[in-house]
Amino acid sequence: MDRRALIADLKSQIAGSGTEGASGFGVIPLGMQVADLLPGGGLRKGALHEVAAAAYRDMGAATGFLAALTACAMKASSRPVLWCEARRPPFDMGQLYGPGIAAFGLDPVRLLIAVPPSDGDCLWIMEEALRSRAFSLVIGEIDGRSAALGLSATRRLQLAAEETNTLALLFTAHAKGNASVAVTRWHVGGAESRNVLYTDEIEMLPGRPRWDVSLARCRGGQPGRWQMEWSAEESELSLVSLVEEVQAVPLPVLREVEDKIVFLRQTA
Amino acid sequence: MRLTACDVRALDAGAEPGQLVPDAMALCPELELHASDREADRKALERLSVWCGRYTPWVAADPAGLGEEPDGLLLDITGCAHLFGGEAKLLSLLCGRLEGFGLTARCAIASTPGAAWACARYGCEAPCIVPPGKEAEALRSLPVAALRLGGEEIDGLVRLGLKRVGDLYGKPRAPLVARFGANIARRLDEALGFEPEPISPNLPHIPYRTSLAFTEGLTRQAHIEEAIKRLAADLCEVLEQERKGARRIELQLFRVDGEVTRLFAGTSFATHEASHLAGLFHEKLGFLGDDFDPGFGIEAITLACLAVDPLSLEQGSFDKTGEQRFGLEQFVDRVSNRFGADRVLRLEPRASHIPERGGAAVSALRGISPAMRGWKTYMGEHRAAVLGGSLPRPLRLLPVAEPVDVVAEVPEGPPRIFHWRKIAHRVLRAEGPERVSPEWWRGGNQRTRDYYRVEDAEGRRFWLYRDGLYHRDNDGPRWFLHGVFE
Repeated sequence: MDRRALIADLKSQIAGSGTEGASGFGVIPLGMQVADLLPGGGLRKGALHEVAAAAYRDMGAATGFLAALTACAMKASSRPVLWCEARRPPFDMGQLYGPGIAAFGLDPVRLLIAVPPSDGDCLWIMEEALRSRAFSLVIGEIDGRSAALGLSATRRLQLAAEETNTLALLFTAHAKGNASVAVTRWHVGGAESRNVLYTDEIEMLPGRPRWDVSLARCRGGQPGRWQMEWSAEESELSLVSLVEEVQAVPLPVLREVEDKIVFLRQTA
Repeated sequence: MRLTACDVRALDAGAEPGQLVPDAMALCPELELHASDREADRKALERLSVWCGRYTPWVAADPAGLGEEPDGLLLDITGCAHLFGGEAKLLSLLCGRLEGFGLTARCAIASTPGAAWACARYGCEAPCIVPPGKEAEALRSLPVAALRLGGEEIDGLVRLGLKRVGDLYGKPRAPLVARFGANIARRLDEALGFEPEPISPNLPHIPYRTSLAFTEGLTRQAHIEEAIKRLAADLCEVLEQERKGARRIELQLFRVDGEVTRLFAGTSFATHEASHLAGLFHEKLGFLGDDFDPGFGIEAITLACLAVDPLSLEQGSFDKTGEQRFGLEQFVDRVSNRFGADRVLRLEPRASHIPERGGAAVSALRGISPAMRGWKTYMGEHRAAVLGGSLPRPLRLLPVAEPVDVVAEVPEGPPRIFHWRKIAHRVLRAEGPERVSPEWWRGGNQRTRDYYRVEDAEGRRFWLYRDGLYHRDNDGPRWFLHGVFE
């Protein structure tokens, strides 16, 4: 009897330490095509992740990628999301804009915005938010070069996230970050969107949001670089083949009006 | 130039308020003169009235609501005196403390404000207590000015030979009223207690209030917080009995040297949970950090509810969702009280087509407003207008649109190259214009804007607009960058 109990205990210990494996933790699915890229099939819950812009000019793109992850988190849970906005350089490319957030496919009612006065306060708010268990995702904007953001600070966040099984995201601007215990680290840049044509004129219009995403570090998975596209209707990310894609131009809608054929704008 | 106030030594030397300065200097050459500062006097009196709040919540500046400058304080100590060991103890305590601050004060306690006023200003110098029912006796020998009358009324009475308050006792009222109006009779009745005279305090009525006094001043923050916890527990017990929850609370810390620190905290939901209320002040004190100075110690602490709401009848559901909602509101309270209510925000839609007015960030302390439900219709409206999956509005909007240099192929066409923050962007894809007309009912010289969504060669998307129209505005349109897309 004693032996069996011992074996069961050892087994449970092995299972417990194996969280690096595929089944030991919950994930937030990001989309069908992206599932294979990450261990467990999505962004790991109860862990700290880092997103950085490839350059200062790509802060908008990185914001977009963060918003995409936020939308996925909102889809997976009914709890609200906290976004700590720095509103200081290098985070000076505008403030989160309600109509834009709504258009992106996020629910603005479930988004809380905090404006901490300093980086240290931002860490404090993030940790409190994680420990309150009230949020499904906590995002903090802290410059990667900030003195407040060290190994111990990220470890505190990681522990708080682990304890409450909440997703934590750090947006570390474009700088090369300090040492961190984040489970994944993403670098996001802008990517040319697919052409959308609607008349025979050569006029190119911006299409769906698209980013050049590289996974610089991934615990238990493979780093890589992909182009990802965001679909606001489906609320999911999809991969774009880097091979020259066939331009799937949506066919113009034809309608006959008094024997004349007119081209109408294709609406989404 | 005239004297407005003199201290005891100047009065002894013959100077008196209202005297011309040369006359006073002639009487007493060594007189020390200071310019009077009414604003500072008013502020000092206000500070003193806040400090007096430790004896009673009902403190009013005197004369309250009259044209004159207030130069005294009225304290309604009904039901408070026994907390300090009786009226005599309270009076000696108060006088002792005022003397300690270096103030010369004349105090009196009486059953009516009028009698107390008269005894304090025209009675003997020592603090006196008029026993109930003895007002007439106490006021008998005082001059008629002690009845709070106007200058003309006093002069008239003195001319008639009625110099003392006692002279008015038992006099027929009708001739007095016919000659001077009803004021004299009313003031006399108020002083003697025949007519009620309420004191209106300079504070809002506070229904829930607890306080603690310490024999030795507290200097350590941990001790102060422990005291706050006890006060919060007392307060919450009362609130719970009445089925009320606090929405706004005030903490007053009375320092030994007379300074009063007032801290306010708000909650986003009615609560009677003591640990939560105490926690809010823990955040406040924590944020003050080294700026919080207990001086030589805190001798008394008062915790009061300024606003209460009835507790909602729904008390936590059995499933987890109710619990989580509670956690969210407590989080909002804590962070708002630590950093300020304008630092935790929710987004609210506004009915305007001008982009910067189309949405606003409001304090999360106010909870989810009905207007926020409007986001649903907003999303529906704008989805339909999008072409090819690109999004109609940017994720980030600049607080102030920034001017950019633009090169366009045709004057009314989309930009081809633009310079923003010293970087040139070559535009490959552009969609627009989306014309936004100014809101004429607001006035001002706003101009029509043509918005373009553009994407540069590296795939970064921006929201630009041309301010003004070519045919209408003579100085030509200018370009601005207003937002950054995802």
